[in-house]
Amino acid sequence: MLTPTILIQLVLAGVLQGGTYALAAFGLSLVFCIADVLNITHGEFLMLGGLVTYLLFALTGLNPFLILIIVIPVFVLIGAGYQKVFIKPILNRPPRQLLFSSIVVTVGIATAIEDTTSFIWGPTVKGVSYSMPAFNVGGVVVSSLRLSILVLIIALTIFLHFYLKKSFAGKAIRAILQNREGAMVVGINVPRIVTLVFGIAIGLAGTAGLFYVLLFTIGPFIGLPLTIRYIAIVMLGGSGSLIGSLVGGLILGVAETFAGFFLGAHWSLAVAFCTLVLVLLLKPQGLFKHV
Amino acid sequence: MKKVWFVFFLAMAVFFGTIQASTAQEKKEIVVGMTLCLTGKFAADVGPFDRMIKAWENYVNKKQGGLYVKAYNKKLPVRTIVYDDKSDQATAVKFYERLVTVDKCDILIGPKSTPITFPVTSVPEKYHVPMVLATANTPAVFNRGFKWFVGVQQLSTHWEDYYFDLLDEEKQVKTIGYVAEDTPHTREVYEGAIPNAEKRGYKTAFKEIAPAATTDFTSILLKLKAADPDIIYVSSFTPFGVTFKKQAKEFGLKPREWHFTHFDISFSSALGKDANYVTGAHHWLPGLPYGNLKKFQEILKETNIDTEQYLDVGIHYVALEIAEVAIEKADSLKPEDLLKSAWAVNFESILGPMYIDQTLGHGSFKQFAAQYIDGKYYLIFPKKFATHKHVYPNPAP
Repeated sequence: MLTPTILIQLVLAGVLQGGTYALAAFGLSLVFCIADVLNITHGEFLMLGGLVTYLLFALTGLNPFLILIIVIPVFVLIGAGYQKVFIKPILNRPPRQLLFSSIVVTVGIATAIEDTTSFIWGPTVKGVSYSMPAFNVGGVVVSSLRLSILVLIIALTIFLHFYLKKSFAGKAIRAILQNREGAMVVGINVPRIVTLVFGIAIGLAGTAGLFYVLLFTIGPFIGLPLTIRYIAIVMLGGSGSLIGSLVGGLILGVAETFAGFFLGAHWSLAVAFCTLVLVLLLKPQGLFKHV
Repeated sequence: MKKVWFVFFLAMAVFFGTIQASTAQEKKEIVVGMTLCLTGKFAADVGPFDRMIKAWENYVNKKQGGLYVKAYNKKLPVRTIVYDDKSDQATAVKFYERLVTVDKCDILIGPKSTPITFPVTSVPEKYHVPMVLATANTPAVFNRGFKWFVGVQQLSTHWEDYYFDLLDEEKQVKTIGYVAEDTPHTREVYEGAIPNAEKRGYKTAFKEIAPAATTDFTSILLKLKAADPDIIYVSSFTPFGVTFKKQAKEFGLKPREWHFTHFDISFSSALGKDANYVTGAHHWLPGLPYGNLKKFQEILKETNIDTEQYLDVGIHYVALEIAEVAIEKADSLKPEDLLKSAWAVNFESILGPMYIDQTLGHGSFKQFAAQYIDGKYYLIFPKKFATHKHVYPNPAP
């Protein structure tokens, strides 16, 4: 029976779940809009973020939230390097060719990352045995771990929002999103901004990986299915939109949780994706426009 | 002229007949072939089993002098062929076809897992070459009336017989809540466990199947909390099980016992102290007194395989033991004789008495009940070789 307590519990769980979806989805969305690149390796960087967290936690015993201080800059640099080495050479192709080329190139890199990871660290799943005590508010059990992660995601989202609105680089990103040619005319260094966007996107993926390994387990082959889910969220929220990724993630998370409770866990994904189809039928461009 | 042709054909017939006869007589080795999931999604469970197969081959050839073949009244060396099926059904089928048609294997060993095994079993049936299935235990594999394979394990619906025997003996449990990951194997184990437990008088407080990709278990956990069963029984593979257990802790769910049907070392390392006192099903663990332990342990030592990490190692090894016994007891290396002998095996394997169900062809091995206590796995049932007393209720905070 649905009591107010259970209702709050379900909403809370859906929001927590959706928040983790949103973080990774935004990076994917930004890259797609700025560079016209569908970065299939996005989920692999999430997996690598989780793996780095796992290794650092196992080696140092550091609080995983402190590991974030290492993960974010490292993955921003990795993202920028990844763009320079693998993506930059194909960026000058015509739009449609670029999209197809980016899929082919990034699928190849994703496969290489999966196999290399499996070869070096073994194919077994890994998890970080870190937990925080849950607390009870009027019968509603709240997971401290998930809540902490959600708070961090919200903080990151707010930071990104202000970064995109106030900083020069952020304004440049928005300018490219609105009118690429216009941005070039006014002197914005588009290639440099594209590199920066890849850095931000992969940094977010690495951060999402850290949160992911705290909540679930990671294995070398989790990347591709995650990328597909994030693509769905991007479509739902509207590509290139920070708020869109957040809302898309929340819709998917809440729909999954409610469907699981009322119809059984088996229906969670089906209902979530039916919601996606419904939204896209009503608003084919997604819920929100660019940043 | 007719006479010349007659002599020519006669000479040719004698020539090729002689070649064929000498080929049959000159069998110099026994070829055992298989595929393993050395890469791909099941690689985590298979790990270094290819090394174990080679170590078995070396042991048999060097220490046993080969396997005895009744028809030749002498021992022949064994040669194993292992291909990587990449955890992929089509690749596995392709390689089994190759093992039969190109490599001319005398006997085949099954691959890892039911999904890979299912299509592969059509190969021995088509070419009439005997096969010993390793980890496959789904009734769907054995219910098709196929005759050219036998298996090591009992059907998956009997996965938890020993665990429920343990509960019967202790008489402390009244209710069980069941959760299953929706994969064919874990679903079958769950579907077998519920009637098995109900027949023994344990009330089903809750049951639900969740998709393998589930990452948020709130809805299930809320219902489980309301049902408050003595045991929460989770039929799942490791990633699902770890996520479920983590979230259950966040919800403050504290049943008297946690039971996970698959709880290998990656499960316990991902959960850390939260895996303490969890019970589950296990295959071979130190303490089992059965079979030629010296040989098995020597092979494990040589290949550096940890039985706590690779649960299936015992099962794959027993598949080799069945092949070994079948070959040595068979009248000849002819496929029909090997098959007949495989169906008739009755010996003490490292996993206990091993015989084949004469209707369906599956083996007799049932998973042992085990418990993870302070960083180590212990056998808790059958009691005659338990290495630790069952700790119930779970004292973990």
